[in-house]
Amino acid sequence: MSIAAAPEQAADDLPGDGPGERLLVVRNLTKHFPITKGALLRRRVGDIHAVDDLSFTVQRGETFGLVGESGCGKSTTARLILKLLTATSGEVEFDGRSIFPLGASETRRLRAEMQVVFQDPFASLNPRHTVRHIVAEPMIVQGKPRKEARARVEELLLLCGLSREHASRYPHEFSGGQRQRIGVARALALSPKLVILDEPVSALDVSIQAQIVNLLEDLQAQLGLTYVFIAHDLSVVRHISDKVGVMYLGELVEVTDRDRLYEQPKHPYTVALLSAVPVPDPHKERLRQRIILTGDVPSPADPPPACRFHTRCWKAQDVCRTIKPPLEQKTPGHWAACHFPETTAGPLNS
Amino acid sequence: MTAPLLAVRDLRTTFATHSGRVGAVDGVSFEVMPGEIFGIVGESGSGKSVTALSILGLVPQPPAKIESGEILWKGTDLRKISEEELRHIRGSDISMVFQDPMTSLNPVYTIGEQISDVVRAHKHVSRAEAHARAISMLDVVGIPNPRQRVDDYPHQFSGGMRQRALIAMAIANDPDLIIADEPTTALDVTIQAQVLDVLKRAAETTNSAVILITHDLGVVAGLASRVAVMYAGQIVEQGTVDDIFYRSRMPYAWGLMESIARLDQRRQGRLRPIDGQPPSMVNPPAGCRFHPRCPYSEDKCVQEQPALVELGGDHRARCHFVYRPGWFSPAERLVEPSSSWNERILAREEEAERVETASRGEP
Repeated sequence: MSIAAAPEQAADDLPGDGPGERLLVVRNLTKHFPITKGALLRRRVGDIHAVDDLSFTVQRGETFGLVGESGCGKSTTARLILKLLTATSGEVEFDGRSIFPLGASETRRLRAEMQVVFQDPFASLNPRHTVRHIVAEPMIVQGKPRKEARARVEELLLLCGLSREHASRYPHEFSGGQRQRIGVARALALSPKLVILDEPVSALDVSIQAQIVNLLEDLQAQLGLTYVFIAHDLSVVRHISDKVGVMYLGELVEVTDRDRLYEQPKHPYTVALLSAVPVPDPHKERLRQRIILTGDVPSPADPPPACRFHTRCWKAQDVCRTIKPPLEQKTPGHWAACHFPETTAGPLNS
Repeated sequence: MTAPLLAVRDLRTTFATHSGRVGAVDGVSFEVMPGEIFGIVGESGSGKSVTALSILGLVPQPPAKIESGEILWKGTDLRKISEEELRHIRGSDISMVFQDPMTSLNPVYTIGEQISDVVRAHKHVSRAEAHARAISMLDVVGIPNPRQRVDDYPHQFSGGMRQRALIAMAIANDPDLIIADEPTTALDVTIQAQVLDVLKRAAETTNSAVILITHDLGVVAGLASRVAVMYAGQIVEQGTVDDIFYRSRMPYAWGLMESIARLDQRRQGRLRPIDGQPPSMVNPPAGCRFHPRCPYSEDKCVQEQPALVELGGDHRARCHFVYRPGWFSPAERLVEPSSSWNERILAREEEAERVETASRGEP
């Protein structure tokens, strides 16, 4: 039960593995941000444990959903995978290659294969550039001739449910949903294999969210894309993901198939999360018993020892405060990090 | 029948913009009964917040202007009383909880001072009494160690605790109505569950009614007893939660219900979004405001604005076709055979008639 299993041994049983082929492998990924004191010497007085010892895989052609509350490290994980941040330790393997040791030019080539769509369609598009410029830019950066890039822009806009005429307009002329379509078109410009979607629909109105979710699904089917879908909205994640990982305070606490996670959650935190989300069904709501967690999420600068959830867990025993539960398979294909995993059906089934 | 606590009649609020006056709220009417939780749902720009702010006269005038309508608070029109009298009601009889707790708390005063201020603004009590009141209110909303935390500044509180502090402030004067505008939108789900629980218990403790404004249908399903659905400045459907969630008669309301992914159900194929986008309020569509996005739109919908049709009980829907056989949401169609529709309409009308004669019988 040691956490430090040899990588060779872990090769066939990382969370998220299945019958498919691995496109992305994350091993023991860790990111600590230093907390410094003093303006001049900037003494290091501590660390924010943003992401701690994360291991999971994403299968080719699948959608891996990553959920958790704000500050749990979802977005930091995305930025580490994209090499937008330098990891403290750990490894990310993309399409069979370890990406952290790659040099600048190789990284640039790699970026063509993994793209990102951000949450805020208002902040992620340059207001002074036309849509044509915005969508063509990644292609030009990668050395595609301008003429070809521009021709491809129209194709991409059509693919994402926009029209040719939109190419010469500016971002402010579009609604939130349309802007997110532009963001998706830009991410697809280089025909990536992996797209990381960081809260792609949470800034949008309910009736528009469904349009974008459908677009993403259509594009995945059409282009054989692999997604990492990061969100705090557990309903959307259930709809779009094949597998789901739940994060708490920088760590993965549970990983399994979509329906298994929602129907038979094993980690108490997952149970509490599912029980906290209100469902749009008054009859069910009247009958539901909520598990209301006490207190707030502890600070990642000083995470609780052993199981990080023990301070808020109603099942916590002494062992939870002293020995860290490893993320291990409780049943085949169902990983959870808990000494006392749930065995009954989850809060949504009762 | 008890008299309504608040009755809003035909409220119209407009804003002056560069492109002319925009009708943010256009003929909204509803009633709130003592002690009930009344939900207002709608997407951004549907006019739900402006409705709430108009009730308390808190819309900035100008650029806003309350053009017409009555806001009857226990029978008195709040639009006709002086600013001085309105100030007595605000924060005392009617209080408000806003979305963003960081901007609604003053960072340079302690939480306790801010709650005491609200108490002392309306009641002649000593500083010590007001301070004691603040502590007991913080206790009601579940702040641990209220005696110590009362002297904290807002930055020492977490987001969830700040929102609780705002609720404490809102109930400090035993209001009859709390208006909560997206009270949990900025919070994480586990904290949202805590805060909604606190809001519900606070309302029960003070026996106060709540107007709960939100875009989250789940929140409304769990808390509200009656709901109004707003679209483009108008109420398009209103009724009990069961009316809205199980017997919706308005394509926008049922479209909204069916476009959301469900936490509690296995995937049922693709989502069914509402096409298009909410209309610009500068130039709202003629006829039914939803017609450009409505899959069932006919000529009549383009030409004529539908009224809010009474469907029995408190249920009203703004659609030309509410009485058309089979006029209910696709999901409901799968559950109930459409042949039973006419029987249900008849039963509804009989019930409405019965209620009316009964109320006429004993004035």
